[in-house]
Amino acid sequence: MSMAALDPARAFPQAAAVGANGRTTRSGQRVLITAGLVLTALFLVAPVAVIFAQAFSRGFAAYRASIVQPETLHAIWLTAVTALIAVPINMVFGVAAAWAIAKFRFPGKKTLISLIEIPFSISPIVAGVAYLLVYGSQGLFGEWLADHDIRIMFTPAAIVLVMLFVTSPFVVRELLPLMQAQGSEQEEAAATLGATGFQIFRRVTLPNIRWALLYGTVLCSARAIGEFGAVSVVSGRIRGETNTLPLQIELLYNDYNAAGAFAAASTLTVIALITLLIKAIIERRIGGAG
Amino acid sequence: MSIEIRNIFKQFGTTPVLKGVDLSIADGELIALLGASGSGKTTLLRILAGLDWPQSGEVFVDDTDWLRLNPQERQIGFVFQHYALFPHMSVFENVAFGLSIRPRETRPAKADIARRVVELLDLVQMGAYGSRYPAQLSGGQRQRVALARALAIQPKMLLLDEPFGALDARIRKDLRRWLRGLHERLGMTTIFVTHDQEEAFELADRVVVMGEGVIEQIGTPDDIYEQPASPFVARFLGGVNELPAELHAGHVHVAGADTSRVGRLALGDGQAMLFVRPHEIDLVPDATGTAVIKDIVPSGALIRYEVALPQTDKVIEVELAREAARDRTLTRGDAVRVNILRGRVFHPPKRQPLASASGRAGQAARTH
Repeated sequence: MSMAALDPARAFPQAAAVGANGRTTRSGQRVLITAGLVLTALFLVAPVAVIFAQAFSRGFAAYRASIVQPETLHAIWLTAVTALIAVPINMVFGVAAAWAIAKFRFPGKKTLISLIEIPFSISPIVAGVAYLLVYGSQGLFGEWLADHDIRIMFTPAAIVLVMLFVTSPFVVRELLPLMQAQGSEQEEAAATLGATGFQIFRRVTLPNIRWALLYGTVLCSARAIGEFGAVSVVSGRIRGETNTLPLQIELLYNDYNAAGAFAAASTLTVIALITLLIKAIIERRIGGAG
Repeated sequence: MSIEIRNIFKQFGTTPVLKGVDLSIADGELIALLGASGSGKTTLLRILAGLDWPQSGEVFVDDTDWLRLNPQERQIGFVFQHYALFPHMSVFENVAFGLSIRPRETRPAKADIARRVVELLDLVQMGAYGSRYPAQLSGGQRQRVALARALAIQPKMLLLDEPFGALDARIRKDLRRWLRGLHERLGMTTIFVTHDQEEAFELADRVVVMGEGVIEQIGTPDDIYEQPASPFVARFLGGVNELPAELHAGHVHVAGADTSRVGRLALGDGQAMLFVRPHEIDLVPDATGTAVIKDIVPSGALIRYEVALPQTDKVIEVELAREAARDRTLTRGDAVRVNILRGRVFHPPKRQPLASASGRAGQAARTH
């Protein structure tokens, strides 16, 4: 065999075409990557940068003053408290629902799975209106609630309720596929070894789902803190009383207090960035463990 | 512990999986539940463990009403096919689990638990692996850890669900022998589920053959092999020739084969089926013979022949030991005489309903 036959372009003309094709593919990749980077810069990095630039536009002292302004401070506090109530409840609910669906057979299981998904498919503002129609003074239970001197709408309780609704699927959605894949054998093994139901949960089930649970909780918290639509309907938007951070930002912005709005927005953004970081760390842990 | 299982019925949804199972097991016995998938053998084991509950029936263990106890109270050792080790615990913690979760009053001291775990790990030859995690072990090692974990609570009986099913053939053989030795040493009642007849025959004192939710036969490995109680059992054990036969005056006749050595049978005249295993047939080179060799497949120590019987288009399978085959110097297309040495007669009219099971049994046979 001559050396000429070893020249791929001469021996296999179609191979040369493949090579040319490979070059177009590579330039195609470059175009797509560039487009991706430009879009990211335009739609993600720029807005975030603008938030911080605006927030600090009048110096750090002004920034600090906008944050410690009583109404904004109250909004931060209210957001934290309502999220701290809603998220743990949804953690418990999520674990319980995923446990029930993954480990037991019962009638209505499929319906339950669909029910859990509902908050994802309903616009939060619709959810807010629905709560208003049920618990508001003109609503379904309005009279009964008034008779018993219970006020839900336009109080932090209403905020917690809609947060619960909107963020309820997050933990279940993270846990369910994992728990279904793991099956029940480890739990059964623990039972034959004498472990009680609680011991099985604490020592076998929980350690197996801990990263997925944390991941779901992070997503759930981020959503709870950032929720706008549903909260804006049921909170009544009472200044310094029932305004959460996202509502406060809108309020400040509508008041032409751009620096204040952006300062408040920056706190929300920092929370989002921290969430992102935790999420990335957990994803690495899950990847490492799996 | 002696076990008394009476008339167990169990169904999942509308599918019956156990249709009236009775079984008595003596203290210290090593029992194999042998059957194809879907025979209900695993469900029966899980009922004994308290992981499944029958719709009706009774289970008594040493005169205790077993179905009134939850799995935690039964003090049994259960070993899963896929080990079910706790992945976030070390080997040591896995084995210690059953002892360390006990309530304070009955929990042994930490040092005692540690001593017991070390003993058990030595017993299963895993002494050097206490600090490893399950993910760092091979399948055979994991299964031995699972066994040590089950033994830690000093179970009164040991239940194993396809314990070697997920392992390589060679490791399976080693573990099997080792488990037999362990049973002889510990002497506890042991029941294991398997679909592998070789495993069942090699390990068990008695084998329970299950098919479609009923027990087809209970007996020693020899009993079951020599005297299968039904065509189902004979087929399940694999590689059997089913020959239409004619019974006449206690002698069985098969067209195109010599059955004079089968011996007299206390059976009436009529049509029947003769079940003959491939190694129960001899081939004699004979130019005047009416049977013809269709194919020859050498498989290790045995040489397998496919032989066409005359008149019918029936092809039978015959196995000769390599030595015997060498003496006979048979090649494809040779005419031979077929001598049937042994066989079991089943009356088709009496056992006809079981024919429906033949497709499945045939499949099982092919997989072995």
